[in-house]
Amino acid sequence: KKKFEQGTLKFNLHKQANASLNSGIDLKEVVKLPSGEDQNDWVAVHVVDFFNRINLLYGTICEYCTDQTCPTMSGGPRYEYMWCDGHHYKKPTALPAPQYITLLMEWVESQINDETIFPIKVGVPFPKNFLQTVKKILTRLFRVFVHVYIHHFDKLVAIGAEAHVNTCYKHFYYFVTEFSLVDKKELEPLKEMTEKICH
Amino acid sequence: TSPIPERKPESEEKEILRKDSTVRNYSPAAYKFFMEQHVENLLKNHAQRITRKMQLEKEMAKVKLSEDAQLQMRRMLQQKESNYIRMKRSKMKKDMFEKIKKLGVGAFGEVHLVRKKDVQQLYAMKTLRKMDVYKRNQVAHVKAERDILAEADNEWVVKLYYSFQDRDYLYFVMDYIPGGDLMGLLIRKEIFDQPLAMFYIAELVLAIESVHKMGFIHRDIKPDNILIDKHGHIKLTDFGLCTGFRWTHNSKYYQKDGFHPRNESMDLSENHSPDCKCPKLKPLDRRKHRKCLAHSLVGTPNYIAPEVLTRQGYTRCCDWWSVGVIMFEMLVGHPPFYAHTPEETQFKVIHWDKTLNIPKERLSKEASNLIEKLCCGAENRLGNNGADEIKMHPFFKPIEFDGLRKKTAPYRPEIKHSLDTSNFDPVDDDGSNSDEEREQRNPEHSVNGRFPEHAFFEFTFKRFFDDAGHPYP
Ligand SMILES: Nc1ncnc2c1ncn2[C@@H]1O[C@H](COP(=O)(O)OP(=O)(O)OP(=O)(O)O)[C@@H](O)[C@H]1O
Repeated sequence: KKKFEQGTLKFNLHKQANASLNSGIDLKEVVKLPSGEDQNDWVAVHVVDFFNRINLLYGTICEYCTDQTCPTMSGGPRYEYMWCDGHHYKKPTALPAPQYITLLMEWVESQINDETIFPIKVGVPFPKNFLQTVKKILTRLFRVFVHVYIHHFDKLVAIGAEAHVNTCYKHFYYFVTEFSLVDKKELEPLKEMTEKICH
Repeated sequence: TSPIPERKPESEEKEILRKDSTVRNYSPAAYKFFMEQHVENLLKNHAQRITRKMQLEKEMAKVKLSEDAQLQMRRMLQQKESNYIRMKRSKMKKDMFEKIKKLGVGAFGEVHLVRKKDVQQLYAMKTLRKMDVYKRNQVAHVKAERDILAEADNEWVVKLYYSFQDRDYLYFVMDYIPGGDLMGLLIRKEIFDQPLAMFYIAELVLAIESVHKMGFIHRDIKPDNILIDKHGHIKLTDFGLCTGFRWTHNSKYYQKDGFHPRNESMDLSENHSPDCKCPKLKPLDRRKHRKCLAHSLVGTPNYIAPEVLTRQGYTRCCDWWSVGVIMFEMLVGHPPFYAHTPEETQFKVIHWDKTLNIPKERLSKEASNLIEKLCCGAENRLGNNGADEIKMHPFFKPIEFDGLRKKTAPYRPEIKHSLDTSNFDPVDDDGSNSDEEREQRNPEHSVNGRFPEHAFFEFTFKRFFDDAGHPYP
């Protein structure tokens, strides 16, 4: 087994478009359902984790994402997302990106903190529609990737974080495709990039 | 390298507006740091899960279980794995634990005997104030402590079960070691006879060797950090000053201004409390008085190697110095560089070649010789070529190092019932909860002020084999 030498950096970050952290790891392998594991529990722990990381990712660029720079929640000219939550926004509504993403994050957080959807106590089963809820959550979280990659990637490059974002994206992508949790057509906006970095 | 984009001037205000929102503004350094740690943990978890499975298979093959029994065992492990990833999603809070008794006071917080309410399990819980940790530039050290306790499946090291945090505090929930610490025993016994001292020093050598093998240097081995378990064997705790080699704990990640004067050894001048009468006390009373707050804030340089104090650069060899000092104290009744103030002690340690005075007439030839070989310049110190060198010293002739921990200990602490804390010398429990009170009175405003939001990322830890709150013994 390899050992890291004292004091050396574990990760040698490369400044390239498809850079990722610690290229030695096989994220495709890591997301697979371990034998005997409950699929819902496996999915649940990942959803919470992805929420935290994507929230953090947006948090690092959110000061550059304003109503002026991003008056709509878009991923390039071809994709625009509308917000709809059935309460305050009964019909799909076009919103500036920061507002859309804030609503999105708050909604996801309320879902994962709801113990009737994400049970914590041992023995409490997941609800029947759990996977459907999860699909909705992940589909929405994916849109944050779309927006960040298409509109704010230059900032991430400037702070030297492209390897970090790519690693996070790859992990997410492998996970949702392993369990078919996001529709193909939703993945479309980042298709080209995905082909480049997720082999 | 590319320049870091400047923060726009209004971002501070925006930050305030955002305070209650889910989306928080994070610094690039925070993001990168978090992601790097996260990937590291991802891999670790994956590998550990595989290891657990293989270990089970190996053990089952060894005892030749029936097919049915094997199936059942596998199912049990799988259940534990599921429970574990569930527990990982749950948020831990301090009110899941009931405080029973204060056991000790340290530099940044306190240690209590606690009971986890849901399963009634006893633990020791160490509480650290984030602001103190941050202000005194110890974040890297506290992280290293978390890591070493979390990683150590090492019988010489206190086991950590959970670590978590809230706005103002960090919490370590670990095994409760009921026999008290070695300092307490020294206070009660004053002096150890040679066989008892030999036993503890021998165990200490094995314990330190195991910590070194994990890639850590303790640097702060002292009698307060050596606990005695119910069978009378020792366990190390308090890795607060301990330095690992892991880059993620490099202090530079936590500095306010990007420039990093590592405040590694203690700055004795800055923390002086005028109210403490400790310096005027006689050695024995001073020992008793060690738990006064002012005292523990300063930390004692009595046991720290000269090369650490002078910041000359040190190796793992500095821990062997501390062993020599502790051995002296056990056999002689006071530490060799004892003085009325920490400054004087520090001076004496640095000038050990003139101040070390071994009362040879009272000690065996072997004991004096071993102390001399440990309390000396780093280049000549025994242990430079590994712990075996020390084990081979004639002082240890009667000791069989192999399996020492499994043998009957010469002294077993008396523990009358599970909540018996009489092996810990009493700590003043006077109003030191003032923080908590202030916090309750004024929940809006943090008593702590500000520290960078990334400083304590990935601090949370939950031990695998504790899914139902029942750690295996
Ligand atoms: N796991 C434990 N079980 C029982 N008692 C403990 C445990 N951990 C610590 N203590 C008691 O609490 C005291 C202080 O603990 P510790 O040394 O870890 O705190 P600290 O804040 O790091 O102190 P310092 O850095 O000043 O030595 C110890 O001397 C010991 O008496």
